[in-house]
Amino acid sequence: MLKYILKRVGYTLLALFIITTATFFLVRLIPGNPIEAMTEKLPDSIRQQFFEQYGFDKPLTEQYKLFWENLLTKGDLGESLKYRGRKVTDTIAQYAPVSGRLGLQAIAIGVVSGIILGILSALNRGKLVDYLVMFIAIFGISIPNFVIASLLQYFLSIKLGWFPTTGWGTFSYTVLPSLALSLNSTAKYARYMRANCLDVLNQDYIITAKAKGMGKTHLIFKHVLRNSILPIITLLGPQIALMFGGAFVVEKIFSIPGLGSYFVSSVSDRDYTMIMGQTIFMAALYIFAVLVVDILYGFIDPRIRLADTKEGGN
Amino acid sequence: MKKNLSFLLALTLVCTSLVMGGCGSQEEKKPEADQQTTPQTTQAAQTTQAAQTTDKEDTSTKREQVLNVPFDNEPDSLDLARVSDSSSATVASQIIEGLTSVVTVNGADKAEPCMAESWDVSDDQLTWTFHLRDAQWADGVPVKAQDFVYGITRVLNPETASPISANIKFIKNAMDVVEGTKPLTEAGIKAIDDKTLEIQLDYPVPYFLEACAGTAMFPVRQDLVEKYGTSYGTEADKIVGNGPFVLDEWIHTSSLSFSKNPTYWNADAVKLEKLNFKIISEATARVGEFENGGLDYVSADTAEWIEQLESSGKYVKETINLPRTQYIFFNQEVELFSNAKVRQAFSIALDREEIQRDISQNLEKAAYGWIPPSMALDGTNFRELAGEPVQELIAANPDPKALLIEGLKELGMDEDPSKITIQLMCRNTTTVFAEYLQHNYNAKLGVNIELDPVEWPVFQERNRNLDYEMGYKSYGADFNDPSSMMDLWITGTKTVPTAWSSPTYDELLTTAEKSIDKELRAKNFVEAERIVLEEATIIPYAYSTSNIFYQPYVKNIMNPQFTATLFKYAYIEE
Amino acid sequence: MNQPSYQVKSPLDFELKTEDFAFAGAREKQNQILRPSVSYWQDAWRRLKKNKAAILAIIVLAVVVIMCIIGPSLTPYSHEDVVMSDKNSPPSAVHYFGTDKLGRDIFTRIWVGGRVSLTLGIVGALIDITVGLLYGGISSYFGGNIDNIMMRIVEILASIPYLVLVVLVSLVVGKGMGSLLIAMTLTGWCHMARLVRGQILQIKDQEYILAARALGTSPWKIIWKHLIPNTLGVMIVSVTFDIPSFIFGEAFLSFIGLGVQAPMTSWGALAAGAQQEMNFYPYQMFFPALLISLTMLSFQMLGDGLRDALDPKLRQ
Repeated sequence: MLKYILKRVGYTLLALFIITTATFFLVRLIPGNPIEAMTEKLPDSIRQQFFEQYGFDKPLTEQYKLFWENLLTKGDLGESLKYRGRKVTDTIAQYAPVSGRLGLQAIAIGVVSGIILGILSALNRGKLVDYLVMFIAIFGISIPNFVIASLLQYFLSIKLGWFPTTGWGTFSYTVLPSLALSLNSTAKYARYMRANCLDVLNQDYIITAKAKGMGKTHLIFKHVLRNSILPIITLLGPQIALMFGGAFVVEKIFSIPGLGSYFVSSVSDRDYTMIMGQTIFMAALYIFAVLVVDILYGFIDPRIRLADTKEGGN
Repeated sequence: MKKNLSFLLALTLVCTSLVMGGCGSQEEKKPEADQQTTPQTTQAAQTTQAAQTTDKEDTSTKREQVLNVPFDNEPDSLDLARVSDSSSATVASQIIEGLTSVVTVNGADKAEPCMAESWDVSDDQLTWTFHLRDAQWADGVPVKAQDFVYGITRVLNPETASPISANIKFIKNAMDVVEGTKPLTEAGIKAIDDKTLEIQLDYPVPYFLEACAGTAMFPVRQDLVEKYGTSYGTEADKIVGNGPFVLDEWIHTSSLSFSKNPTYWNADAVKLEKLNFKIISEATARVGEFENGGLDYVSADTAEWIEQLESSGKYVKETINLPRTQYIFFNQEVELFSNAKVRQAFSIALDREEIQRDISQNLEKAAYGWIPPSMALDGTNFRELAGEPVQELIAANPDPKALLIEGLKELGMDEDPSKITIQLMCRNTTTVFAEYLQHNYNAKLGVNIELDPVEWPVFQERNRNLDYEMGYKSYGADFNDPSSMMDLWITGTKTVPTAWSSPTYDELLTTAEKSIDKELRAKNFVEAERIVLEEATIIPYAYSTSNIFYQPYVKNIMNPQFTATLFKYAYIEE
Repeated sequence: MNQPSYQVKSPLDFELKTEDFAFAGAREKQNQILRPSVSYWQDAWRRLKKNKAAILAIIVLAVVVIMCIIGPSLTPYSHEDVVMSDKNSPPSAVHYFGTDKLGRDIFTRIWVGGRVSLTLGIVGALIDITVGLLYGGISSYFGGNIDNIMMRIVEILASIPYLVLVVLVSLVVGKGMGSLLIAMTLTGWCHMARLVRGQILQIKDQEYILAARALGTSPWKIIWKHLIPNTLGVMIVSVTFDIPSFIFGEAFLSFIGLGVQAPMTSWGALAAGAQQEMNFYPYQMFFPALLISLTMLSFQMLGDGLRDALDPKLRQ
């Protein structure tokens, strides 16, 4: 087990190194540079001075070396090029908790409602409830995020005024974006849970338990839930990490100061250092989440050592 | 009905007395200032609303002097020497005050004395001596002339690489200092004593007092910059101001909250207790929030929003002409566009009225000149002086296609316009206008246009490298003088490169800008604009406007044309 | 082994005859292997037909595809025709889905955009599956160290946050459909490769493969007759699920301004463009959003149906 963990940690670090390097060069290959995003009224000498200030006049290899030097010796990812003076690390520390809270709330809603819907549908297999739940589930993954978010905002906030339209703060601000973000995972978990429930329900021991006269509710809580919840954990890890970056659209529509919307604007501002910092952060989070889940899973279920985790897409 | 009337009367009385009381300490400000924001304000809606609000409960909360303001973008930094965005300038202008500040009185902008109590100017208008008033920073430190010297030289210091240094290029030796060819000490600014500041100019600047209100001339505390280093101005607690408000909290990309600065020299004139900026990037959400009462004003940028807000009859509308012109520009290194007749054909073929009516839905005004109608030359409206050169061009050449073919003949190119394909560089965010141009030029000139949508930084980079054929964008003036717009086309200005160059134009402008002879200036600027438009170096097509809707109880927010919006005299009507 | 060369009517009238023990002719041998694989597809089709949702999905998709092909020619307008006087008009007999802010016919634009969205989805999924099949096939075929290294590479690639990569790469490679495809498939094939490898490894150890080997069937025949048909089912299912993710991906990129560029359009671009004006012209967003959702829904249902039909083992 220890060897397995060490090996996995090794790969993780290698992956991070590769991602960082790739991003470093990719970012600089993007046409347009940070100063073009600032203002058009710049004399040439100022542009020159700006580049010198950030070391962009040096050869790429030297910049690359300097980047690692700063990162490894000082833990410093540099300073934002757009929001001059703000440290990249500080900025991430400030925006990540917002995305994190939004993501966790969305996942919580998704997991709880997904599990309930999944069980309901499995228990009523082939009946109206089943079809209804599955329809909702499939529909949930069929509507683009920005459509759901706009609809929720339009009807529940602007028209009915139940929730604040935009912004971030008290719980009521988080309801609509969390809902918009959770629909997808609700759908995913409902489908997953239904399949697992059906699987477990067909197992011999359940049949035995049934034969012994165990009640349905008891059965669900005692056996079905416990046994089918395990695979959910595997899905959870990557999902949590993806939430940090995956909420681009929802954060933008609700003007939420999170990492997702920040990443998109960093890209359009060509804020090299911010893009680097955020990519590294999101990749690291994602990789470690997968790693932790895999290791945990190995402990919980010794039959599986190298869980085949699938990329979640969007 | 009678009740309502008397209520209104009482309201008016209360607020007039309040504002007049506040004005007492100022010499410059006239009592009419409080009457209304601008003459364009729609009044009809107010009466009905006043009647409505009387029996609503939420008026009691509205009586608090708290103003909630929408904001499109996160300010880059409050270290103003290092940034150039208008959001930063607006935030900073609430907490920091320069020598003067520009206020809007009866729709006209004028500079009023702030940190400077009075000033003297030499006969040649090149040496200005400012006498500072006894004011202090919010932490109790007195404001000194040295703070201004430090602030201005910091902008000029090549090490700062300040994007706004060109805003004060009129200061003696400023550009040499920026280029690094002269030392900082050569810049034309010095503190004679703690309370006396002397600024020397390279050439007379008629708008100098307005320019003194700009962010490039703000005072800066050297001790704080040194204390916080590069993080100066990045957080609410890393900046100290001397202005009407204090920044209490800054939640990045979410909100900024201010409260009244009790140590502000003119604190009696400030009515608002709290000021909140909410950063909302989506227009739908902004207007929604406004309609729900979460915002006290909103700017509407589509005809649909304006119609919706107007038809509700609840709000007060203000239309502001921005000093900004939208224009098409060509890369004249491209053979086709090196010919003036071809360019003229493109200018004439543009139906500016259709653009105003159908594309901008009357939100913008058809432009037949380069200098927007809101700008003046030495106090006279420039458009009145210069007429409408593009209209004359259109009248003289009714058939643009014939003109195009003539131009093609001169160039020795194939005379069939349908064989021409032009790349139109546009921004990838909205391509509506580009698609309109594509359709329009194909219909009127027979040429084919291909869209070339790119992101803004790429657009700018390719413009700068002359790596485009044709593009369109807008340009806003920084100060109320035609030179702010006209300088763009002087040979060697690399702001919007088009590879166009005219020695006559350069000559006309340089003599006009260094002169104090009003007649000469008028003659030269008018002639220079005519050259640009008759040669169709660029094709202006619209002047920008901005439409703001206020909740009826919001009064006296000032939107000067060239400097940041001011909230210091704003108040909530009781 | 309990698979006689002739049809058994009933286990009860099973009777051994001398001719049963004759050597099988070449012709019979061919039948022997061919018939089960044919009946596999027939069987799958039979099962799929029973699935009403899947059949409905096929019909919907067929209608959408046909409309994308013929739709634009059903109207007198082209998707680029600007008629300013007609702008923002609601759905009517003249403009079935209304017009946009340049007075262009949305009905026409939807089907033109559908071509782009569907092409992106299908081509993208095909690229994914081709690369995945090759990579996964090679990896599992060679096994050992090569497999180890190849799978580590996949693991690393797959750990790059997908959207971040798509955004960065689409900026570097530029605009146009080709570039979008490159950006979206750059790591998209990774899960396909894993899937293929997993499938092949699993099947490799199955008893019937072992039996075929023991009987001396050549490796190529095993691959052709057993491995491919058995993975194909899973592959088709993943392609069905992969197509919508491309359509979604493009819609997301359009929303942040990096999708297909004007004058080209797509469902994502149409929906994203109308999002701003949703309050005033909901129909401008409704129709593209409806088509995206309908197509996604159909592919999901079809995918579910296909999975049940093609891969009973995976049936959950």
